[in-house]
Amino acid sequence: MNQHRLRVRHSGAIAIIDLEGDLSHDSEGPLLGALRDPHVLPSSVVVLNFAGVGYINSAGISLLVSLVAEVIHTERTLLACCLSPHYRKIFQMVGLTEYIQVFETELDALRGTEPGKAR
Amino acid sequence: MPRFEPRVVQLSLPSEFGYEKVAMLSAGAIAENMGFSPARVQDLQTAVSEACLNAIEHAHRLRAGVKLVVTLRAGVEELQVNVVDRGGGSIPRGRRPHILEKVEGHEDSRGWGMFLIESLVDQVRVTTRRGGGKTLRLVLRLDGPRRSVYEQDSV
Repeated sequence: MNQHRLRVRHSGAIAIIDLEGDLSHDSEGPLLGALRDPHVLPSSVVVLNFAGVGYINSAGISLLVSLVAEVIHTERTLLACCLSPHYRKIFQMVGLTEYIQVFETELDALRGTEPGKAR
Repeated sequence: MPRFEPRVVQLSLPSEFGYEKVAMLSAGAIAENMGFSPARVQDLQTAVSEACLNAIEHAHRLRAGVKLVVTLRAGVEELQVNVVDRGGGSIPRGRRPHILEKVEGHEDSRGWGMFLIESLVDQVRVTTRRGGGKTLRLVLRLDGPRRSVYEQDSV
């Protein structure tokens, strides 16, 4: 219904993926594709910006688990920002916060990746 | 004093991804009207969405022509949501999934739905009908702190 869209930006060496719409069954191809994009692959840190996401269901959670597996496999770090309090709670409930550090704002996420502050 | 009659809304939805949001948004609007806090409204919405997705994907296997029926019953003290499917199989108890097993590829990355449902509402009841089909009832209560109760039966 509210199809998933995304956009990739860079801040220095950090790749930022702006997510928009629903994170659901049809998000897998675009999101995994973005993570494997030749412009994103060299970035050791990837920030998922959820500011434009209003709905995440269990398929979206599963997709994020796949993303975590992918970044571990490629020795990268996945961060998240701008999640609503509800989805932040869901991330904690399912254990995603053990693998994805969640920040309030994009700026916080970028600062969190400064040397000496990275997890 | 006149007896309060619960307000009942019924939805008949195609078994297609996306229609779970119709039930989710309706449940949210009713819960909001009943005075649930915004956080509890969102909890209910996620649980209703997952209950519908379970019917759409697993019971009806995405056959759009097969309808799931969602009944929202707003009482004085609680909101009941019944999601009725016509499919086979059972709804397994939503044990807490092991994310490590999933991340390492030892388990399917799916399988979060029932865990979320049971974690987010006060009561869950799964009723399996002998002739086929199931009812998944979710209850959200207005009073006090939330508690999670799971029940299962067949009729």
